[in-house]
Amino acid sequence: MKNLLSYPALITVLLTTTLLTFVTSILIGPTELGFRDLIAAIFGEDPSMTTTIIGEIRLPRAILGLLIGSTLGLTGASLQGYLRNPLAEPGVIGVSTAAALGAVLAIYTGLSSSVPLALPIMAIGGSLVAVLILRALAGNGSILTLILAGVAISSLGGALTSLVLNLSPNPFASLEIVFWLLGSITDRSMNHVWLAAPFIISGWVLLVLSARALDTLSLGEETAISLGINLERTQLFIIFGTAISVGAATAVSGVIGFVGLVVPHILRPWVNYSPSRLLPASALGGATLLLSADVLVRLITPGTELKLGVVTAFFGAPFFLHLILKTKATFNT
Amino acid sequence: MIPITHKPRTIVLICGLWITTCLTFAAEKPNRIVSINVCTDHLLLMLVDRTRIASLTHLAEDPYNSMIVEEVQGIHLNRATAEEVIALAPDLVVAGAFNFRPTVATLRKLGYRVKEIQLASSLQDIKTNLTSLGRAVDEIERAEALITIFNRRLKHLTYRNEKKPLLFARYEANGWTVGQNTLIADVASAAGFETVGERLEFTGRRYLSLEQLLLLQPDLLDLGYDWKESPALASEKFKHPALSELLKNTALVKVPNPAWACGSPYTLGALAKLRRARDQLDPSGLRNTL
Amino acid sequence: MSLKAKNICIFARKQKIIDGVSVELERGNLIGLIGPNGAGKSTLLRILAGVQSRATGEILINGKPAEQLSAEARARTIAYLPQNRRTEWPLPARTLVMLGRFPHRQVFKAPSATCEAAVDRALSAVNATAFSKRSVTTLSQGESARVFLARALAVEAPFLLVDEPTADMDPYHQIHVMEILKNVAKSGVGVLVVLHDLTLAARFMDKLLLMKQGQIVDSGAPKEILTAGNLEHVYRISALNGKEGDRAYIIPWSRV
Repeated sequence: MKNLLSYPALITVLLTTTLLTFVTSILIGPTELGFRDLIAAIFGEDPSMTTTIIGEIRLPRAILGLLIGSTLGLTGASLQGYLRNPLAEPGVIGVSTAAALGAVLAIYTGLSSSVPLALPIMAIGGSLVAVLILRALAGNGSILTLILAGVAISSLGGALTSLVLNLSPNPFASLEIVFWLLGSITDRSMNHVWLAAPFIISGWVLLVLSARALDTLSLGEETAISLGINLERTQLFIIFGTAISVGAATAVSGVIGFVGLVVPHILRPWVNYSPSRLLPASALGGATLLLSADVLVRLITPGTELKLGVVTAFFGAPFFLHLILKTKATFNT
Repeated sequence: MIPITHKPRTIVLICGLWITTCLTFAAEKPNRIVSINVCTDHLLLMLVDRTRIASLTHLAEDPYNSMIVEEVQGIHLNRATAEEVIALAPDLVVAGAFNFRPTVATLRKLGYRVKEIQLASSLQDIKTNLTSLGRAVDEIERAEALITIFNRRLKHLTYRNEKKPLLFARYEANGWTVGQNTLIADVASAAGFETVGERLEFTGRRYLSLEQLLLLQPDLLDLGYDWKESPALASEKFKHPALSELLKNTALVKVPNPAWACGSPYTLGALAKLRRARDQLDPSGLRNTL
Repeated sequence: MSLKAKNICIFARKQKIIDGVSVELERGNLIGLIGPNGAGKSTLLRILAGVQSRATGEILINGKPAEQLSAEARARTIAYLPQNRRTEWPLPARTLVMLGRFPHRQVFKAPSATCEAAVDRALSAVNATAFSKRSVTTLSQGESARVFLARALAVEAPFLLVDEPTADMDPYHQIHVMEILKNVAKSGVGVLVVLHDLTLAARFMDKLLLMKQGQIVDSGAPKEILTAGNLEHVYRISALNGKEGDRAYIIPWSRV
């Protein structure tokens, strides 16, 4: 139990780290930009290409890093609280991959060219289908069933995504599989921000509204109901909140895994295991983590950038293994 | 030289031998030529009569890869597999440097005559390839004629001005751009441009971030095909606001991809477009879009 | 305050799990709900707590149908402690008990002094104040069971429904928990307990409700209910009855 930081202090620290990584993300890139350029761009003094670079390339990238990182952290914490399972997160349970499938269907059939909103909506549709299937399959949240269901949905989603891309007449489509399955926010524009942000934030609202219920759910569903929780409403909020925010996020960035797994787990002791307090903390933690990863991909291979999913997998996968071993140990005692 | 005083039988013998030899050499002129590379398709169609062509590649009827879409109507098209080639019973197979190596090796092993034409990475290479292929198909004179026309046109199109070359950038899907030692660079240079490769000092093709493109502020930009009818992320970049910002002050040129993806006389069409653009720009910054 | 259930029925897979049960809970009484496995005891408890829905019948709280109450009001009236007492997260004991104040608390506000006092009372009622700062997963079986009970007590509801409070416990803790429940009932709470242990039921309960195959077949004081006839008919066992001074006891002895 980490009593070193009070909750307000913790949130302040996380806000600071988020702000720092946000600014760093704007300053790092293939072209040299300094703090002075940033200030000049903000105050609109300099109508040069530098301002365009900052405003149209770096800024949307940083904003998306913030929105998507927060979404992954928040939905991870919410799913773990709801399913009472520390291994749950939208990537592991296949929700992100299903969203990617929806997004790919929207883009490569040409639908989103005529109707731009088709992109986030179809991605959200994909993630909704995945969450509903999971709910039907995994029932009371037994760990094994959940992970197996997630693997099945993830594999199927990934395979179908690759199929759609391979069938596209565009010669570049099959190369873009890597983007969709490993994630990237390179060269995204403010158009993507406006497309995704309203959905992402709506999803957040739904998740925050069900925050209190998560606290009582840590005692089990029956106790929660007896304490006055409307379980159906809570489930609905969490399902839709997750699907909408993860769907819209994946629609513009592809699948980015492990953030929702690692961040809540690390922060949980710092909020004294309170599921409701974990939500805002995880959102900020997720934002910090993803923004940092996005800075890393620009520093490690400056020529051709690594995909974000590569970096997140590097710390996420060993962490996942560690979690499984720890959970296994608990079962064996 | 055999004296005329010898018996007529010997003369007939010798003439017969001579005719047979001529006929034998004539039989070596390939008449069932199969091309398994879209670039050699272009050269082949210029060098030999259609009747001698057994098959060209299916990419020849794809507008993104071919300048001869109409011309190949009626010719059998293949997918460059060894099976198909064998079924066509060719007496000459023409391949390019980027054909699937095992296919070429198999064909050679089976005893087929395979002529490989290297990828053209300069205008000079185009001429070399014409000569080389002309020899293989026994159309040396035709090749030489084509080269003469090529040279004349090239001389006419080449930009001869002491002024500093302007910057030309080809920015394809997913940020790929072209540098030194490429056909595109050679064409650009002939038209009075230097490419990103000269500016940033790299050879071949390379990824260029959108930011770098913006800072380079090219004088002329070629964005490649827009893929409106079959979209992908690659085509999404055309909608990027930063690019729109750049395009406000940059001249745009549209060169069909096959004009310089393959080195052939059609490449001079690309040169013509760039030359026209060059003439309309001048170093003091007058911009016109084409 | 009264809690009445009339003619409750519930089906599962075309079988009647509970068949026309009527129950009334009085405040200040410790009532035991006993019966063999599969009689429907836990189900009845869940229905009364509002956790499971019934097919027919009414539940009346103060004469009004339970449905008319808001979920929070109902939660403040009936506290429920299910058999499954497990938490995934290593919550500190006090935090866990504070969850019992959920129906009384406001959204996103820190716990009020009233809540803190209620938690203090609940912890001391179960003698758990000493380890209230420790995380629940580090506690022993008996200690954590008491903490979970404290959570239910912290609701300070007029009615308390408990499912198998003494399962998996050693005799010391079994007796301790029963004593706590007796004290809670004495303080004015109507307590309904599902219990397997007939010896404890006979010793501590004010009243017993005997269930068999979804119906209440008998109800009354333990002496009247735990007759040889009932034991043989409902449980298919016979028991030894004994007395030690003025302390009477009953021990299930053999199968019939």
